Amino acid sequence: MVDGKTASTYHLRVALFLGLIGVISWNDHGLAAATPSCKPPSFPPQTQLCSNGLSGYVNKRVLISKLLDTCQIVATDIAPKGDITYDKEVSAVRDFATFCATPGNCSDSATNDLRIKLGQVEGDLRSFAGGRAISIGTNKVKITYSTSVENFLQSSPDASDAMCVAVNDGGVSPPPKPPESSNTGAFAIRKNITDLPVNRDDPKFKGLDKGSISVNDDYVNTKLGVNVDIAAGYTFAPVVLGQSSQVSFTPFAYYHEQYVASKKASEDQQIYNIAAGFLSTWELTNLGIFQFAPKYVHAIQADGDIESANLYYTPPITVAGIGTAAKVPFTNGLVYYRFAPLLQVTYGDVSRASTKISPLSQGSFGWLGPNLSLYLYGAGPLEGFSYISSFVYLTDFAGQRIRVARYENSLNYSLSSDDTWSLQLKYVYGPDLDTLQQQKMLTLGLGLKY
Amino acid sequence: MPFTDTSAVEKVVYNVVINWLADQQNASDQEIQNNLDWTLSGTPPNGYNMQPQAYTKMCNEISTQIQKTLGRAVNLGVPWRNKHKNDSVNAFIAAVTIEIVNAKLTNIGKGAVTWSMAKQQAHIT
Repeated sequence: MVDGKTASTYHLRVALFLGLIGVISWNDHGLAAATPSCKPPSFPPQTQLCSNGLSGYVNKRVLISKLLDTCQIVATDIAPKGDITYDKEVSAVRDFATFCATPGNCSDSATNDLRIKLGQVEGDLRSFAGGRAISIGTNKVKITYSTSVENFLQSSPDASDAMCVAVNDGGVSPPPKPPESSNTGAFAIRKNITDLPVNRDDPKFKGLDKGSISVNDDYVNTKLGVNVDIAAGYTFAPVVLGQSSQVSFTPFAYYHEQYVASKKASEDQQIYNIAAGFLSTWELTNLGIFQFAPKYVHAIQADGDIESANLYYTPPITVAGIGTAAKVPFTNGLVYYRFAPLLQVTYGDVSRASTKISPLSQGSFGWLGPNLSLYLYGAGPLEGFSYISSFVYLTDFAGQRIRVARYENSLNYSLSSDDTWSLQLKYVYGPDLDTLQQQKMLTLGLGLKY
Repeated sequence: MPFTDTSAVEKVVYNVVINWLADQQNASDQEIQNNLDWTLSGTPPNGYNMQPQAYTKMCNEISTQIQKTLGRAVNLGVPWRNKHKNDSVNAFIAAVTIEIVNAKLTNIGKGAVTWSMAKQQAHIT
């Protein structure tokens, strides 16, 4: 129970805390930007020779333009009327005589010099297409795989048919390595243990559910609620099995706290569970993904102990909307979704029971059932928002007769560009899946992933 | 014998990958081409959020299609797949191209090269 003076001080601290979150959110995102309706093609930008700095695809428009600049050929030399285009530049380089014989092309005063300069440009292009490094500005670039200059110029200016490699003084450096995938050991913080193997450098990281720390203040009932839901683990590099399968191992620990203060201290809801275990993730081609997690849970306040073996099975469904994210119909590309069905099987033993973790009593238990999640992602003006809804329904197949139904929904807004922190509005209804202690709360707080 | 005309290889790979993604997403080729910077595993609006099983299926199917078209063995094994599963579509196409250029010929491909060289030799003599 919180008294008047303490409550006002507490309320002030909560207001300052939420205000700070608001400032962080504003600074990181500012006003939501509108997405242009005509999104440009995803080829190298107009002013950049190579799509990734000194590597990636060659922007042929920029290459031709810069080579012409190098030979001091201005646009009006080729197109005196000012109607210069990429096609005209290419035509002038490939066949000067025919191009300049066409009325309206090539300025009269520059014709002889122009012929010599265009010949130099054509020579440079031939060298470049053939595999020699050339200097463009302060950079040296080289095509990784040679082709003919005719092929190079005939294909579309936006075609990605040549690539750049940075050239050092001492020789040719290889293309930059792509970002390391999640196949090296890494420490992680998540909400669900099944997400621990996904590395934070993995682009999939942004879509994962977050560990949460939240505080809820119910002004009507003057209740204080605190909820902490966080898992941490270290994933070792995966071991390859055969042609297409692999397995990875992740020792983990997690902490779950829920405290809701009631009008009577004896009716306070208190859940303090700490757990540790070992997760193995088996990706087997055409069979799906099997995740085994034996674990030990200690209910601190309830003074109970539970050991269990858990299996999470993801079937090999690859259609859009399950295997990949898909657009939600009729949202004009503003919202995407992905549905994630799992089968969960748990078999365990309550080695030390407590009345505070009823209905579980001492002895074994086994239950199985679907664990279904729906992920929604915002795009355009909704970018940064995500919504995760999960439903678990487990029925007993051994031991104690128990049915479990749990709903959990969270609306998230990223506070950082790498999605490490987010503002999270979460609603939970149903029993804790370890100790079956009842939970029902709406919280506003911070989500964290690392 | 490695390929020398990588632009032709890359065009094949580009078309196969774009077609596969368009079929997977029930989208047009143009829509996929507009999003070549999307990553395979990232979340929308910057990625396809491709799950491991879908990614494996993609690698298997594009390998088969490319092998039929080019007559070269294409082996995208687990270490290679792990290395490239977070790539953008652009980078993935480039990586597959590099892998193919260094790949060995299938028996059909070897037969074609042998036949071609024999024809050339017969022409010279």
